[in-house]
Amino acid sequence: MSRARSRWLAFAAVGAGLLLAGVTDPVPARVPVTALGYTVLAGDFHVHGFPDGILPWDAAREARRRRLDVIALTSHNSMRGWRLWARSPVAPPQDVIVLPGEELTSAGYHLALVGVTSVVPWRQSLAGAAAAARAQGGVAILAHPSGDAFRRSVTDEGLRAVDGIEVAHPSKETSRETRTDLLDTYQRTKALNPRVAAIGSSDFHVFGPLGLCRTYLFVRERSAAGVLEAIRAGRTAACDGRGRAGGPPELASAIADRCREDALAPPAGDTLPSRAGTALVWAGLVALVVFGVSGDRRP
Amino acid sequence: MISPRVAYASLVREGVRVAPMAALRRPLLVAVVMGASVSIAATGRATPELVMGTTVSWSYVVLLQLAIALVLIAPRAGRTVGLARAIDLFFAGHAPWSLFVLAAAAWAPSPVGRPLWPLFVPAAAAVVLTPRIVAAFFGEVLGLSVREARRMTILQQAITWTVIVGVFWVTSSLTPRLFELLRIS
Repeated sequence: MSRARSRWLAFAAVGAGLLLAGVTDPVPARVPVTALGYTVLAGDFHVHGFPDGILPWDAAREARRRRLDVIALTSHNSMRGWRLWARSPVAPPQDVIVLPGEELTSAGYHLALVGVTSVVPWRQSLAGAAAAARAQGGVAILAHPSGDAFRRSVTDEGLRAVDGIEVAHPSKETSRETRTDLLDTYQRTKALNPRVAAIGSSDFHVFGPLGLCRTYLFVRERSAAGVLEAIRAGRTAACDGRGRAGGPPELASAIADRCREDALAPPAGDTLPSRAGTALVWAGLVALVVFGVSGDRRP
Repeated sequence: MISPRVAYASLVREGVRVAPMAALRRPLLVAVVMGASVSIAATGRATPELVMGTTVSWSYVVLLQLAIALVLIAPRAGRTVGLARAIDLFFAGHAPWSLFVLAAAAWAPSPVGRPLWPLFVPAAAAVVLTPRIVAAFFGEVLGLSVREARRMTILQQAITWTVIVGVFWVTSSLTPRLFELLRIS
């Protein structure tokens, strides 16, 4: 096959792939789930939007596709994601609650601050940062608490100050040390503060999937205030990427089946043509890079 | 990618002139590769809406590369192949990084627990191949001596990596991480 023909086939593959990838089923509306007298919501409180990932309104759509009811946009030491979201040029999905947030990236610890209204400075202690978030009406979730630097710097005072601990995080799946650290930190904090919330978060950047690890919240009302209240009260259970639930036994067992189902289910709305279309776009682009977009040889 | 000097020399001999708009076709391909790859890596799909949004938002990466190239190429391109053709040929050397980004997109929507280290292989290939390609570009397309081409390549790579680290520094808050590393906090 000539290079010119290969090139045109590649262009055709990208075009046809984009069209096919758009052939998706509508994502069904979320069916309210209740357990133990509360409404159960699924959330991911550690989501990085552009420039650390995709645009925040695309992240909200992705959340819907991944069966999440609530996400928090947590840019590193800034509220860029949230500010971008606030200026969204497209209509956001109505059934996903999007909360403002920040991943406070400090030396020795990271905090996912959810529901805050302005940036919390990083040059302070864990307890100080958590108190600052709470003063703004937010909650402080200790993010991926593991590693030498964290173990060196963490204190009981700091652990007592946080509202939640990421006990399920994607890094847990690839490192035994991280797995042990997350569980140890949760147990240690639970002993200091029995109401600390068990949180599952995906720490979503460019590498998906969003909601790989997630939190189930037992809320009194389906609202931002209801979500924050459930975290403060510790009415949460964490779910990891393999569908294992953790947290207070009563809550974890109430959502165990749902955790397993959500972890194993494919994203909502995908169809065979949409999957084939995505593969075609990828293959077409590889061919265009290899064969070039013009008749020139490639250096 | 294997013998960039020979390929660039033959491209220059062809003496093709390109219109200014045509010079944007390769930067545009790089932008679409970035947009589609980020879409696939993040969500596992490439719907037109998603690819359009990520291509536009991530095009700042291509614009930065274009700006760096313009600063270094513009003063000399007029005396050889012309600025439009020089930009076109400069972006023809983007293949190693484009293939790395596409490889990352294929690997990223991974099953739980799949490590990312296999991506170091295409990344290392791009890091090694790109300076050779850029040096060949400066030598064959802009007609610089080997010594000058080497100097310009070092400059181009230094500026590019400084910008990349700068962007990463701001978006990922590297200052506290550095403090953590140095244990001075």
